[in-house]
Amino acid sequence: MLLKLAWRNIWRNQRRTVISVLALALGVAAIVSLFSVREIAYAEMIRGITKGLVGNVQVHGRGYQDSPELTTVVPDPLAVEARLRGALPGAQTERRVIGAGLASSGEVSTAVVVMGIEAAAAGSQTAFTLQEGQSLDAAPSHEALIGTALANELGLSPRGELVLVGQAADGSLANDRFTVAGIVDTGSSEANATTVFLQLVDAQSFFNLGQGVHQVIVRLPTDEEDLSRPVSLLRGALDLSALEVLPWSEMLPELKTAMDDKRKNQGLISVIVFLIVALGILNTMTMSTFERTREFGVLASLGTRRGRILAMVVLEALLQGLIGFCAGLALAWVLLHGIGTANLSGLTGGGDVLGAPMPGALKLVIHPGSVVSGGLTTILTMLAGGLLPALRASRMKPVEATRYV
Amino acid sequence: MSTILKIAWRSIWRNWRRTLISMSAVGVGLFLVVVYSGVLAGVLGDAKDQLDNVGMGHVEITAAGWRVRRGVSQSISSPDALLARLHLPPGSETGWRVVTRGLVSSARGSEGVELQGVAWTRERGLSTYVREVRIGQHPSADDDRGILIGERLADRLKVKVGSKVRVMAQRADGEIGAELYRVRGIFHSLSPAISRHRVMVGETSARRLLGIGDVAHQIVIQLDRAGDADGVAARLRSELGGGYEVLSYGDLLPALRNIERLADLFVWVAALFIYGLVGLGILNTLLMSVLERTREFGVLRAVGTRPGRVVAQVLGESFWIATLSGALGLAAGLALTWYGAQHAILTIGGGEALEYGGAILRSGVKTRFSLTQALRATSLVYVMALVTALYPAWKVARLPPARALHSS
Repeated sequence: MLLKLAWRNIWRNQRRTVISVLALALGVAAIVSLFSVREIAYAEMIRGITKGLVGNVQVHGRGYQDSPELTTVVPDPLAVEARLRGALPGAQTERRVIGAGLASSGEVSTAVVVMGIEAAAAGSQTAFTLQEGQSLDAAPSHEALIGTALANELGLSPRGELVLVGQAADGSLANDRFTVAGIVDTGSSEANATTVFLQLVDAQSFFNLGQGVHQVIVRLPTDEEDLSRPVSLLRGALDLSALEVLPWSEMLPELKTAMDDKRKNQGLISVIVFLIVALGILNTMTMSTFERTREFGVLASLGTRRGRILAMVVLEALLQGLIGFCAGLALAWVLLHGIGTANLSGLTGGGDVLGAPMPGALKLVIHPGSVVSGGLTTILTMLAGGLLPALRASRMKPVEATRYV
Repeated sequence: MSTILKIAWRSIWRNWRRTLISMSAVGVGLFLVVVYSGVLAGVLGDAKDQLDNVGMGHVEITAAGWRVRRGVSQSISSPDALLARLHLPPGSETGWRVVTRGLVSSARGSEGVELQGVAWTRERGLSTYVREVRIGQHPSADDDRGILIGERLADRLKVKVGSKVRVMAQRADGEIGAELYRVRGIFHSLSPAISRHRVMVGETSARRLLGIGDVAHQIVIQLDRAGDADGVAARLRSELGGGYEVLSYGDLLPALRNIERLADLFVWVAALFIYGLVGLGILNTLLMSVLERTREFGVLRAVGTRPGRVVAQVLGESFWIATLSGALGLAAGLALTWYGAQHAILTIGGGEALEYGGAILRSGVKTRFSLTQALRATSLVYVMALVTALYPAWKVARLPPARALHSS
């Protein structure tokens, strides 16, 4: 009954309602689209990180994250892998060795990151895509995969010869020749320009590490941004006096803070946008209740309780909010689907942002979180704009109000 | 004219509460646009003016093809003489660098780096981090064995001022050259990549390590005004002819150019959107206030006021609303951007700076105070106010006086 009354009331002045609803819809559409684009881009960046070279979680020798020394290793990686898999069934693990080196071919040389990987592991399949040649054999073969930009710079193609010079764990000079098996794209422009992938065993002997590895990569079957639960499980399973367990957000802390800051800044913009809308609603609702002073007076003298009048006016505001919200969602949907896909990688000229590649083609859809956030702000906006007029309407003295023309 | 404005002024205060609410909506909107454009201009201006934080020139000259394949012998001979020949705008800082990639190692580890051989006095004018070495100092001009390294690299290699490091790089003859250097200074750079991957030695020492003569790989020019870079680069390109590659910072950092373009677009879209919202608010209140007074306008028309004058009066009311709220929003917006130009009011990332496709953006954003930008935003408020007022004005002016008089 109250709802029916409120519904009829808002259509008594159609033009006014349509304009208010339109303003609200515009606001909702903007917030929902911005939120969606941002979250979709973040999810894609995070997927790039967790499916890429970083993984969801890494296990290192203790202190490696702060000061990655060649000698800080996980000494018995196979035992660690077994424990990790035991603690989190479904997790995939890979061992990795990382060291610095100088790669040369002919007259050109450049500084590189030498990465020893388990080429056959499932995770390595998603970390890079082969562009030319073939992947590494399972057996140690003195073969290397190199990033696309690095291949370009060194003028190397598959079957070419690459000379690597570096410093081994015992301080001696490491020096060896490798055959380029293939050229790979890692998705990150920095990694493409600097990475040489070797067979894990080749890298271990190049750097004279024995069985030791620098990273045990853990990949989880999840796209969750928050990994605190699996991380605490893994931490419980390992000896933390010798090892450290870090989720990607702690390995790329700058990226994580940049994401959180961006969220905060955008939240601020939504608040201001809705402040503007709320002021508009306040104005129209004040007018509409003011016009009906006499009517409220009659209602009150017939014995309608204050709470009921208050509820009715608030309902009018919320109903307009509902319509505006739905219209806004529809508008956002049209907008996002109209654009279809967005490619953000052009923004940085293909460069990385804080160690992560900008996502390529993004499919734009409405993010569920944006609907919640848009809905909440709509309710707050309508209450902010509607509560004051509603209170005034309910506080009118029946005698004075009925006399009002 | 003044009568109309006077009547309009009185009319808007007949329902002062409503007027104040619409005004605050307009004011908040304008404030937001002014601050937003100030913030974006701040982020961009910062990146552009701080090229010397990354040691990048506004214009850089290299031998053709060097950027793709950095061969040691792909160099510019007698850089000093070449620079003397060029016609550069006054106030330009210039220098050259021998550049190669190598491996630096200490007893505790090794790291791939870009090794730059520089003329120290010139380099001071080009890179902030050489000018302001945090620990120790950069090697002196005749110091053959001194090296300057970044904080992160020092941390990585566990070296201090006075420690020894070994540098390996490929020589022009194809052999691997190695030299021992002593760390004389440790610099701080906003860019983590530079702090970790760049070391500098004197140019003669670098040439000896690489086995090359009086050559350089990079000529770096910093202009007084960053905006001139594209023009200067184009002129130098024709001056130098083939065999050289001349690039401006825009070519070197396409990301910077992209965000510049994007930021312009952002400001426009945001402004359009905010003014759209504000416009709808004004439309509603103005419509209400005009329709309430239908009878009044009917009287005016009946006593012979022309429709044009009625329209003018409604526009006049909108003009006053725009003026007052515009002044308020402008003042508040300017105040915040002015304050934000002194103190960073916003952070866009943790740490000190964030790297965006090679460009450095300070994470504490200082806004850019720009009166012309703010005035442009304000003028848009007028346009918006007048456009939205047209509909109610037209609606009431069109009404036949007899009908208008009958409305209650």
